[in-house]
Amino acid sequence: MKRSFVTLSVLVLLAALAATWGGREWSLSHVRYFTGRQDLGWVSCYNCHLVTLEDQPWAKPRPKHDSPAGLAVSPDGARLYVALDDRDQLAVVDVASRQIVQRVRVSGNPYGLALDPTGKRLFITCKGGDRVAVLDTKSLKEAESIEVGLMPAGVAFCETKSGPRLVVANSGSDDISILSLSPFKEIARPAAGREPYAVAAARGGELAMVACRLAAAVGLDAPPSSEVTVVNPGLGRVVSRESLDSAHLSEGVAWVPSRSWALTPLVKVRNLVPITQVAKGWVMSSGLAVSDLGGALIQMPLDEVNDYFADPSAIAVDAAGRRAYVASGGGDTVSVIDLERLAAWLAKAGEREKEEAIDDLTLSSEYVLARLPTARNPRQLALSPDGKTFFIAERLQDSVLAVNTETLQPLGRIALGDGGLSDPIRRGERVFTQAAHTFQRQFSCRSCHPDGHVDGLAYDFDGDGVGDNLLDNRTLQGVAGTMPFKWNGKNPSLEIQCGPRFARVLMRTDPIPPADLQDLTTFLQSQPPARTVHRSQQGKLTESQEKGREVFFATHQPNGTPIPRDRQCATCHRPPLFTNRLPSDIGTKGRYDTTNHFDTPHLLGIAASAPYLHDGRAKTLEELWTVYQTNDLHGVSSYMNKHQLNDLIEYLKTL
Amino acid sequence: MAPDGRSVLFVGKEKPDSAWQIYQASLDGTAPQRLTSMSGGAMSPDFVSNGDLVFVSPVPAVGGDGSFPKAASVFAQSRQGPPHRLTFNAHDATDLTVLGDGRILFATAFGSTTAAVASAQALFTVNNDGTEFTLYAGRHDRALRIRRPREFGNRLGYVASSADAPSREAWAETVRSARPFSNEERLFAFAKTECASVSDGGGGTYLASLKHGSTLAIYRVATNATALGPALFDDPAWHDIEAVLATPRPQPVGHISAMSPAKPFGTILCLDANRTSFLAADGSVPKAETIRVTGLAADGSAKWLGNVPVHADGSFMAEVPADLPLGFEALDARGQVLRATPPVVWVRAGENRACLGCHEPHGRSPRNHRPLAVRAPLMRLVGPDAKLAQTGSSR
Amino acid sequence: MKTTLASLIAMLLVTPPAMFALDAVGDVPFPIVERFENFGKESGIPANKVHCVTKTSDGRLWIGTWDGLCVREPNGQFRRYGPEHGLSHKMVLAIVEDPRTGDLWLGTMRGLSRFSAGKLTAFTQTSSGLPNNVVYGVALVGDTVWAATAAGTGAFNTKAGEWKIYDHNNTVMHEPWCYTVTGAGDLVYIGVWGGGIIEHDPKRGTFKEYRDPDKDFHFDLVPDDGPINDITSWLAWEDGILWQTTYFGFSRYAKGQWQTWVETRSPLPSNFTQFVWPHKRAAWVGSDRGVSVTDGKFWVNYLVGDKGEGLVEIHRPGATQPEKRTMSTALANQFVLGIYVDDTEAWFATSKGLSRGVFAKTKTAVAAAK
Repeated sequence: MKRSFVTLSVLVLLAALAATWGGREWSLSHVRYFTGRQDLGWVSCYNCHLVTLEDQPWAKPRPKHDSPAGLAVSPDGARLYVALDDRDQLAVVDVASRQIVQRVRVSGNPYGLALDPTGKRLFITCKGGDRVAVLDTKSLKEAESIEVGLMPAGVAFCETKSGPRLVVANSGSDDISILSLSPFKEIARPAAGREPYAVAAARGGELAMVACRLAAAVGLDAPPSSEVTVVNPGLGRVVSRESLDSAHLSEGVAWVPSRSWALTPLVKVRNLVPITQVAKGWVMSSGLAVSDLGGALIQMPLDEVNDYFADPSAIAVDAAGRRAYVASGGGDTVSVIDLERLAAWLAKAGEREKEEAIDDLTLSSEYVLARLPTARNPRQLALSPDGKTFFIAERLQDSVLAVNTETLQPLGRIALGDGGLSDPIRRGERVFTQAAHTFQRQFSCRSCHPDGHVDGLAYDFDGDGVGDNLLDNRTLQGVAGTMPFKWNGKNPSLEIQCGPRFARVLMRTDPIPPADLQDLTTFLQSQPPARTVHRSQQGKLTESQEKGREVFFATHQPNGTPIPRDRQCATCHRPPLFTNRLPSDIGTKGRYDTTNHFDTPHLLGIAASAPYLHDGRAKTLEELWTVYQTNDLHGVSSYMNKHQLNDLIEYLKTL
Repeated sequence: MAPDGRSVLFVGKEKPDSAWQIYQASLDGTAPQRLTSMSGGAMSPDFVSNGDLVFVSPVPAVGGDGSFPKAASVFAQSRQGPPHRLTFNAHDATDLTVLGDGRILFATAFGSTTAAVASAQALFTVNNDGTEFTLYAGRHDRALRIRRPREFGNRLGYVASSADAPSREAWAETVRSARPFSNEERLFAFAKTECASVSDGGGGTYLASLKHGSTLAIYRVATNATALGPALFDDPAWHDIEAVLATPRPQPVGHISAMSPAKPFGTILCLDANRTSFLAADGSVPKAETIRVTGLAADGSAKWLGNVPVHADGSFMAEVPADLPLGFEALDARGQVLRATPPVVWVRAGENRACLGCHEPHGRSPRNHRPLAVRAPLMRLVGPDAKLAQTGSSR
Repeated sequence: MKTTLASLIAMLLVTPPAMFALDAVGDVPFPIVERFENFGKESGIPANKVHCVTKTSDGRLWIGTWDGLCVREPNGQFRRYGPEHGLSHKMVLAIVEDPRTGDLWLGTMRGLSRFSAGKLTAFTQTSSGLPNNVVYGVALVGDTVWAATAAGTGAFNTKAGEWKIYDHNNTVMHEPWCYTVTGAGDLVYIGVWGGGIIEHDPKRGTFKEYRDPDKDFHFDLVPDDGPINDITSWLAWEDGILWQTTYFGFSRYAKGQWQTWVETRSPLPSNFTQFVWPHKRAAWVGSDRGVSVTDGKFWVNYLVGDKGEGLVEIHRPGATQPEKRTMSTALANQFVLGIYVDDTEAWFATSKGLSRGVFAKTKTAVAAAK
């Protein structure tokens, strides 16, 4: 009995071993056959199978929060309107009591607000709905709606000689909708810089300034620059395009009538300099562009030698032009700038001094009057018409802070929600936007990943050799389920990617504590892929996109020649995430790269993630195959004519 | 005071002829515990974020100025382990404090050969692993001895005395952390009396040790005070040198080290050797062709390590021995020295250290550009030590 | 009395040429150029060869030259933009304005460029969906920028960011070498080099081909039966009339009817026509032998004589001989590549400089002076 038991056990064990060994062998041959790659070892089934979009954390319902976005104060100062994009609501607040008197439903993620001078109409950009809604402020009913470009963010009302206009920054389609109000229609759609974000009227409405967040893709060694697009809203024409050299992430713009200044907060980035340190603004610092809209533009620093005020967002200027207020979303501060002192410095500074001002961290003490602490993530500002109060939207606190402009003391807080701390995604977003995790609070995760997306720049991390392995930043939107991370795929999880290694390489502080790290990764996983298709086009493929889909999934060239499996797009970019999460050699090793195998990126939202390849050398999707293709290693493209390449690109733009 | 406000560190000696060591005393009255056993003594203690003790050792001899490698340096010591050296300063490091951003701030001499007084000090910082040795505050035209630096919100205060006559009366002054290289503000000028220390008294006040009669007493002085009130504490039998508030304070920020301890080299990258505050008589900057790098030897001499070519944009990069004060001479095409800094800066093992220029203007950020030096093969400077050269970089 | 006599004499001295001019040209239904002002390198034009000329809606004059894009400043000097400013290539072949935004779209030898408020953005065949870098002609139709290139016509929808390519693979085009494209109300016309004219209806997505029925390069065997020739060098459309220039004659198409002209059987000075600009139903045609203006009945030719003198010929319908005159000035060069005409003046881009055509005064204006 015992013997048979032993024999049986041995046989079972041997069978199990055989099955395991056999299973492994089968698995290896299965993977090698279907990928065409003989270099692969054992690969988890989940790399290619059983993945669905519905299973991703970002596809699941999540708690909504009363995060304030745009603010607008009624002309009589009695009412404050607050856009609550996460809730699809507009909150109407009684300023005196600091209580919400009504919540109005506005579909499509209401984000930016602008009032007409009478206060009768409130114009609301709906970032998720790709539209502008007009609300009658008396009845609080939506009176009109018009389709604009993709993801409209900032909006401004301009009174022009040709009639009233609305200027809308379409952050997702890189253009500006200029609308006439009677009739309510779009009269022009000029191209802006990359990701136009904030709008302000200038010269009494004769001009409108649009600050654009991102820099255009420029290639490996060129310094980036972003744009402030100046338009004539009356005519719908572009008047000038101001270049902010080596600066980006502008989320606000303001006009100072008494000085004819355009002020744009910015982040001065030093992405071409190897990140050997963070101190002394080596990665980035915040600043303010001062422009006369006539060609003279000076960048002035806002940070200090030993402290930084990361992620400058909105700016507000008082009517007299004495003071500007700049919110620091990562530093939980509003900086108060004395414009008279700033003007005095500019008047006596020489040309060289002005040119180098942005790099002089000792300068801001000349004109920064005060740094007001706020609750988490101040993003938008509004001044009361009488100039006595200013309001700060504390986005991740679900509140708006009211401050007395004379004493600079808080008057009270308008509670829109409970702060959302029971939600790990909200807690994680707070970690994400918290500059305190980096040395001297210089930057936060958001500083390179605005809205969890990407700044489109390549950096030189020094940990692997100064000057080696230049890395294009990548989007974190849609990153769930696409492990491993790092350009060589060496970090198996977000926890490891954002853990001690990151503290060593970039943050230069202690690693994020475990509980915060957990919340951070929960937040990252909840970020859906970037949306690149206009609401009106979603759900349907055009003829070209359909043809492109066929090119993408092709197993044979049109002439019947088989495409080797390892070069079929869908092998490495396997749906639904469009990555098989394995490193590949696509012939793109650069002179200063220490590896030729790069982690396969996911393609969801790829159209919004320029530039491309591991070091960002390809400025557009076309260039992946027209310039940087080597021997058909990045998919077989040599047979394609321009029609087919265009179709493929059109398809990729739908992902 | 420890960040939790429950124990205090102090420097003391058990017997008159013992070396000064660091003790920790709990405020509940239990006996103080000796933390250090440094042969030359230890002084100026503080805690870094991970709870390690940092201090200066040895205690510099009065009137003497120790030099590398025996100069008083900053050490760190965890509860369990032995002390390890963080700094490799060419001259004595004297007083230290740990800043809120996690750096260790300490006073040491500029070491400038051109300074009026060789022992003139400035305030420098390092990370808690001894990397990124950087000037925090101090000017060549003010030859000072600096004691007891302390952080006060957005200011940094310390006690200063004249470097060429340190026994003369000392005074307290502060600089703004926003622009520490200028606009020093004197404290307690109305008191017209010697100061031995100043620390944060809470609620907009300072705790200062000021001369009262023939001894030092502790005063609490409001930041906007115009007159000195009565002393807070004065025991006429003793000099009451220093007082600290027994309250919790925020833990300094940490810094996970990027060192590679096994690697005996670090890297120096200079973005533009022609960016300098050393100008020719006509205000121009003579162009450097080569940088001659030296290391401070034990006998105080500068040992030649190697020459690095300067690229067209002024940049240069080289691997250099770690934990050794390094000096730099900028040479023109004929090999003439255009400008020089004595050996004061070190890099730690595996540290990549970059500068804007050669004795660059203070408080500046770099221009956004990719220096040519990072594209060239990396040289290793070892001087005549061929053995070390064999394990050079493979780049 | 004396004053009156002096005035009369002065008037008699001044008026006759004008009156003569008036009598001579009053019947021609389009403006006559009475003199040319020529511009070259001395005005800051970087190269002699000027490919195209246009005025934007803000009144500024723009030219595309062999070495850059230029705009005429108020002081008369030309300011240049070249590749160093972001222009895709120094040779600018076509300029078109988007009247809604003021942006200029430029066809160059190496890509399409957009000039907007001083900033140049390049679209090339490698960086975008442009079919080919050699962009001969550009047209703006609504939100779409059309680019006629050496390998098909590209259509870039600026709102959607989408490129479409039309060539011999997906249309009835005989070959992909497109020299010109023009909007025509609801339609788009593409001139194909060796492929005649393609009529495209963007709404329906249809393409229709118009070819020379004679199939003969050199002779217009049957006049008015279709496009004069398949080698279309330019197309322009205005007020319901499509004008076609070819290297072997000139055509007009309106209301389903064709009219063709060759030099042997019409006042057309040369079959080698390379550009046409219609203005108020009269076509201003550039050729290798000067400029010819016609409404189909009247012809006025501006030629350059052997000695470089300016010659004008006025061909009236029914007249056996043209009225010929020598002008005080001549076109900068008879090889005319581009033309712009509005109500006040005409501009000519030639192989050796830029010419401004100053119109003779009208009947009404002279009468008022009298």
